[in-house]
Amino acid sequence: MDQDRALKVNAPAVIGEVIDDDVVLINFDTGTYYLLGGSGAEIWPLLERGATPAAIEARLRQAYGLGDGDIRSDLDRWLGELLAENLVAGVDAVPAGEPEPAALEAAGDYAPPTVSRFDDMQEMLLLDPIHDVADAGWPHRPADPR
Amino acid sequence: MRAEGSERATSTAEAFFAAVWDAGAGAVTHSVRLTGHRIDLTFSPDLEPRLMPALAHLKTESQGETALQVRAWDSHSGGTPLPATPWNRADYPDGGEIRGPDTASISIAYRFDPGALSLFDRETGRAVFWIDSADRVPGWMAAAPFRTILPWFVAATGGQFVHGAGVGLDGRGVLVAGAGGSGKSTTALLCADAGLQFVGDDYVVVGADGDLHAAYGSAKLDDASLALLPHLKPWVVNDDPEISKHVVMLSRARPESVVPRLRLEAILLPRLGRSDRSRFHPASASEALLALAPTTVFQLPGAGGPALRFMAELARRVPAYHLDLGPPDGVAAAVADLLRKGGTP
Repeated sequence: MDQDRALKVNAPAVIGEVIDDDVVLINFDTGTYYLLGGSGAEIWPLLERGATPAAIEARLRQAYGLGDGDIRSDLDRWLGELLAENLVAGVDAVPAGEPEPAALEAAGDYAPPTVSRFDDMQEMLLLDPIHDVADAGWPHRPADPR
Repeated sequence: MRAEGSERATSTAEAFFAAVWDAGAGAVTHSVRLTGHRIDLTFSPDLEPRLMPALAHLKTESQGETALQVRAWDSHSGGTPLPATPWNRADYPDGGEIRGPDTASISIAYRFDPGALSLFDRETGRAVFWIDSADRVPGWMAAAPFRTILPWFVAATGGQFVHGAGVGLDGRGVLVAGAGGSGKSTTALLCADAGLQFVGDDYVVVGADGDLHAAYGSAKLDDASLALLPHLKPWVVNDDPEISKHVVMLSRARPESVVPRLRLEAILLPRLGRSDRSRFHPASASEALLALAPTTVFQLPGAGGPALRFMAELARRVPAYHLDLGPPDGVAAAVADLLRKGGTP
């Protein structure tokens, strides 16, 4: 994992909502949905804005008062899963002008971030694909539509 | 580039909407009330008997401002062909549904199978549903007519269509959520059959007021559920092989049970076959959101981030319980007991 390349939520295909101590994520491209647990709910707002793994690690260490304990392997594994599922993607730079997320206010002890994956809706979406047409319009206007 | 594209999409959408609206002047008009809003529905002759039954329980005679005018027409009985469409079937070889391009005002969706077009202009409060002929309306569409237009309209009024059932007692209700096979419809139908109030089975509306509102008078039952409720068999209106379920017009079978609105007290997440009697266990807000949101946003148009936020807000505000379903004859009593206690077990 490149610790200095920023990762950002793959919007608008991926939408997420922090609820209680979890995050519910939906991927419209694949029909798969996810529950992020552990410290995932703390990290998610950072990924919505875009953040490097190094910055995420630093924020977690600060929020949970962690010393030198190894959390990088937890983070690398977890971010690797999010990347493999196309929930986040590498970005060259975090867009300027976006507000810095508030300092993490971690509740309780540090728990490694987790991902649960649900694919029971996938079949429905693949059988019945949704074509979202961009604002540039439909790709072709037929010469003789009827 | 983007601004140019947006302008092109807007002008294309507006011109297309105007052409389809003008082509679809109908013959039969009914007024219905949904989340308190009056909707005037005008049908071509053949579409009225196909689409109106599942909305008949919402009919209203009252006057007042019309919030939405819908023109529903088919080329066959309406006598006019669909104006030229801006898409080409060959551009979407896998069929499915085209959504958009939505503009600030106009939403568009087209389903290749059965070939149905839905348009909604939120600025003028007008919508059009078009299909080639009424006999192309599949059973699932007759059970839930305007399942594209009405969610757009409800979202524009600050509410949200959700995939779930709603039942209640003395005006207090529960939203029963869960994917297919969870026992959602069975729970709802057992309750309605036992005399509890009913706002819907497959889809219900959570209004801007936070209440549960009725949309469709239909319910969908699989073979096992219908076997539990054999006296509903005469009310099966079609057996649609596409949905492999029986559609029961509950608004006709149990008209006294069907109510337009319930105050939402709890979200129930049923689970089949786990208990010797029906029991409630607290569920977390994220469990409630997992049961409600994916199944809703994959089925309903335009249900993206705002819909997820709406349902998350709902899951935070309303307590949720797993309902481990026991024997069928005790389900309605357990739900009624929960509601008598103000939505807590």
